[in-house]
Amino acid sequence: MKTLLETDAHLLRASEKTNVALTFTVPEAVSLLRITYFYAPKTLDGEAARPAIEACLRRDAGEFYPEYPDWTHYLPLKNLVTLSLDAPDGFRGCAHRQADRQVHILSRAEASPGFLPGELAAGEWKLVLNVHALVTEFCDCHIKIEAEVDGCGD
Amino acid sequence: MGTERWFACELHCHTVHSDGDFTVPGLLEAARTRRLDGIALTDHNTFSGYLQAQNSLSPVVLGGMEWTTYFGHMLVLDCKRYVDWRDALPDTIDEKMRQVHESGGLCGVAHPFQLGTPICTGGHWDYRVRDWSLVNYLEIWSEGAPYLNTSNRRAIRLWASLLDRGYRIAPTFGRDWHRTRGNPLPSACTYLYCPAPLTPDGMKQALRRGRTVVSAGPLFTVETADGKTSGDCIPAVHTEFRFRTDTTRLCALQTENTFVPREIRLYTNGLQEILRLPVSGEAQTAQIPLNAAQWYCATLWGETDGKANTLLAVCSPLYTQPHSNHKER
Repeated sequence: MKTLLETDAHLLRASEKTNVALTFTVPEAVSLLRITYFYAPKTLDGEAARPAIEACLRRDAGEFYPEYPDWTHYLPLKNLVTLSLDAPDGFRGCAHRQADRQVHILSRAEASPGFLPGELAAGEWKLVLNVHALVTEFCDCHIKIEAEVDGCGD
Repeated sequence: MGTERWFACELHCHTVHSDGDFTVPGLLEAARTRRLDGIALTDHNTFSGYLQAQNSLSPVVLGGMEWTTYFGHMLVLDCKRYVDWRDALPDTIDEKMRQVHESGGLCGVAHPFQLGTPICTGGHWDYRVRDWSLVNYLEIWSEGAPYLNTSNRRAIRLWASLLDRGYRIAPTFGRDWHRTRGNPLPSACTYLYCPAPLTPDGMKQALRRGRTVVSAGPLFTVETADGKTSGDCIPAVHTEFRFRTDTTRLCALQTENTFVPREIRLYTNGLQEILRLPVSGEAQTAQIPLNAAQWYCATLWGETDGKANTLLAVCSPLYTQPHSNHKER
């Protein structure tokens, strides 16, 4: 396997509701891509989460606030940073789920759930971190993208 | 093409392709168990599961995606070209919906009053829609318990206020189906009026034309003597409405829930109730004096598992034509 990209992303609270794109170059004759991804911390628990929960209830429950359960019902809050992927010729899927450790593969014939199998075209690809929720002070993501290149025994 | 009839459908489903527990075959099997004729596969932010589901005949599968964005969740069905959900912003959603329509797709608002970020990320509808005619349908009931919880009550109010402003938006139920467990009222669904046999395109056209009934289980429908039904536009004259309550699917499902229909209520603009009719049989009629340029929504009320006065079904409205015999002003 040849490593195409290995990097960390140190996301701060202000990156919530933004997309962070990482570009990488896929060489000719790639038969398989593997994306390894993890991030931490995952959760925010206890009193520390209370202000954000109460703010959310005030904002979205509005006048119906009294009908909703106590703030502790919503513990723990979770960071949610999902991965989506673009090939040079378009969207190749997304893994929208809570897991904080994920491994995905793509090849011509098959792909991990959420992603689209097909030609692994040479050129510039984009892995996008979709920062749906960032409830802690920061969140550290680690991303590694590897390729299996045809005719390369290693 | 055969005659039209009502088909039981689930329009909001997830699999392992996003955060559901169902595999695609598992979801199809669960839908068959529920006696669902059709489903819309709406995984979060991807359509990869559809590759495995597109040839299913039982249930019929309409492909889609739940745009799980930072400012709201929007159901997009049968969009022929990928439209990017990632750069949708509160003030640009109309442009995104236009792009979906240009690619043949439909747009639906999912659970508009779910709590949003960080509790359910982006779950609360914060988009500032300028032109609501771009919205084909709206989930007035979300998740498995379609009697009136707070957020469903608010969704119905939003929907009725949009009808008042002249928009014709189909009401839908969405189970937001992720897994087998934790699903009260398994019989709840959206009935769609489509040509038989059911096809994905038939489902799509029914949603486009507003031919929907949202139900906890019973199939409750309304039509006029000349066969006009939910979603149709009719003259503003005295009209006989024919109501029908059908429990065939419930019997086949052998659901443990019990529904006792008690009352038919008809609502119009301003959510004003204009008819209350005790349920006395499978088919009933009422003479309704209709005003021009209004909406008329038939609903069924009764007991759910012994709980009185619960909403059992909501028919998408019939609409009346504007005055044509005298000019305005």
